[in-house]
Amino acid sequence: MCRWISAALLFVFMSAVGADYPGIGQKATPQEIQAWDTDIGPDLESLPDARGSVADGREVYALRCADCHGPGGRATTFFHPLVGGTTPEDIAVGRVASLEEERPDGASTLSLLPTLTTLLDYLYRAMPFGAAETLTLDEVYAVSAYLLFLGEVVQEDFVLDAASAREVQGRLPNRLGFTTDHGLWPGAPAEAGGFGNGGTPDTQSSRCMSDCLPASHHSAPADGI
Amino acid sequence: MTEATGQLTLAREGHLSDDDLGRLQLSRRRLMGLAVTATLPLAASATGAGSGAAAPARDGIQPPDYGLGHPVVHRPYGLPSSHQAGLERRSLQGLSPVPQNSASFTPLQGLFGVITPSGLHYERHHSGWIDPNPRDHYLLISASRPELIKQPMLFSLDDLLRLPSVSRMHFLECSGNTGIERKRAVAPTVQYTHGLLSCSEFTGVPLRLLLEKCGVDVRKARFVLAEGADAAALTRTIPMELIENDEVLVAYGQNGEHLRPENGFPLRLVVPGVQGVSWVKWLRRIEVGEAPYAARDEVLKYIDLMPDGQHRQYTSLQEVKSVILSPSGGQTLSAPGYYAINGVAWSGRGRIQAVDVSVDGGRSWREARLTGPVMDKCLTRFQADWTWDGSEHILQSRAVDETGHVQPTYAALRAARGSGSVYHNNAIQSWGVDHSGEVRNVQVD
Repeated sequence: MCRWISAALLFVFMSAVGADYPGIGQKATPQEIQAWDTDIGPDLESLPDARGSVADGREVYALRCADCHGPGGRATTFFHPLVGGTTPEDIAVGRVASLEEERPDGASTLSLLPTLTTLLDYLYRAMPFGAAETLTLDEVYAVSAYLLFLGEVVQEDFVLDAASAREVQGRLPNRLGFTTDHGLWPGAPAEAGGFGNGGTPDTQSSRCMSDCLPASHHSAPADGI
Repeated sequence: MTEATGQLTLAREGHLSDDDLGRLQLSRRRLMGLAVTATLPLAASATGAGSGAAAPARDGIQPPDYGLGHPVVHRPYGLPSSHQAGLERRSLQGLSPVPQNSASFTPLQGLFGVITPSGLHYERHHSGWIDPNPRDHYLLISASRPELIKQPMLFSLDDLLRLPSVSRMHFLECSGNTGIERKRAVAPTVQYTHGLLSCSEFTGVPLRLLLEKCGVDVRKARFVLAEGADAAALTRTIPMELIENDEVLVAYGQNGEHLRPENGFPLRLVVPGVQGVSWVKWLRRIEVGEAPYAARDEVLKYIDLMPDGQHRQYTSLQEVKSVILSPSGGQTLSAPGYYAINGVAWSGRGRIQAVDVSVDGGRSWREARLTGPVMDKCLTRFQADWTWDGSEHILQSRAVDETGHVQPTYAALRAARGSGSVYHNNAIQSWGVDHSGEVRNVQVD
């Protein structure tokens, strides 16, 4: 009898604590999701409906950005420059030649940027530094238009909106400057919908134990910092 | 009462008091022969009991003369000994002009075992650290398209505390760790060469469980966006494969207590083997989607510049790596004699299989002892015996992980990638020991 009751209780217990975990969490309302889900995803076909001109962007930039990034987006006082390092040839080719000089510290946001949505997303959710999420979507589009103008990617009469964003994407100077062909993605490989070679390292060193190649060494300025 | 020398003196930076510094100079003078007397023969010191001239003076056989100690709960939350007060996180002047967008380094040179005390865990914040009130903090799980999820949900810290949990020990390394060394030896001590590295026990709920609760269509949603609640609203893309195999946790616990605010209180993502930036702190939102998100910190930062000017994107794994913590840069061997070589090894691809140690700059190697525990994607301690003969040496360690991947030399790493990227430098570290016993950061190709 006792055993029968225990078995019955066990059954009730297991069904109550199934994979559903009742009573845990709350359903998110559409309003809550809308308020929280503010990222601008990589799909150019589903960009938020907004617009901003170079002229508007110049004003927004002066008020909200120039303190840190300086006039013309080239200041390096606090952060890396926003523009610079690109040429009309880069825009034509889609690769930024100055990046081949192994000077990443000299790279600018625009000389690196392969995807326009990244710029819009970051400005909208995280800028200005110290006053995040205070730019409207129109202001984000306007400032982006102004930066693209500073980088000579668009003309002074340009207006950025969802339609023109797709055209601009095809003019970004470093749009072809990225590769995912490497072994440092921990998920599925490229052939299975992920990236790269599935985790094969690009260095294949041997475990030499004796008579290994003589090494040269460079002494360090150990008190250099 | 001082007798034989023979001590490993710790690094000079901040770590040592003025008294310590005075003693350091004293012991160096001794080594240079200026203070060696007939009663202090170096030969004797090499086989001595190890009580050094730079050590606190011995009181002979007198019992300690302590009065009553402090009462219980004198310090409701305990602190390290006052004699260890210099062992702290430190930043680098000039690392960043904006202290909220900067990093501090773990003092690896003074730690034992594999657990990093939570208060010494390295920091890398993009817009400063925050301390959200958990009563107002929720984790939203939603989808980039409504069809990918049956029921978007909000979870509180209390919700997560009620769910089944796991505790696991994992290392956490910034992909920029050792980045300043990419072209040449720069930093004086291991705190700055390798201190963007920590290891903790993390407790939390597998993210898979939460996604199942929300009814995520994992056939289509193969990527996950994680977002923090800090002003940077930092986002990174995580592959669904890591979530499906239960590796990714929504953690609330670290080393037996709640996360520290600097480490993401109340919730952070744990992504074992993957660079720190993906372990999103102050986690407030998980979105599932069908494509990677190309977020700022995977497009403009945390990208690996190759010699041809291309950048590798979505580089996330931290590959096999090791470093000798003792003797290491800034430390001083005060006299010839026995010094155990101690260090840590780790790999984002799994367990450490072996660590080799060289004391001749890589010409010959021998296998070190793994002193255990040896765990998946976790710091692993190694140790090797070494008796310093007073001559110049270059100490190196070389780790091998369970996939057989051998930690590369700088020459091998640069042959594959050049030296333009500040990220993912896992090359073999070298420490040069000179005649005086000073240990310095050097690079060996």
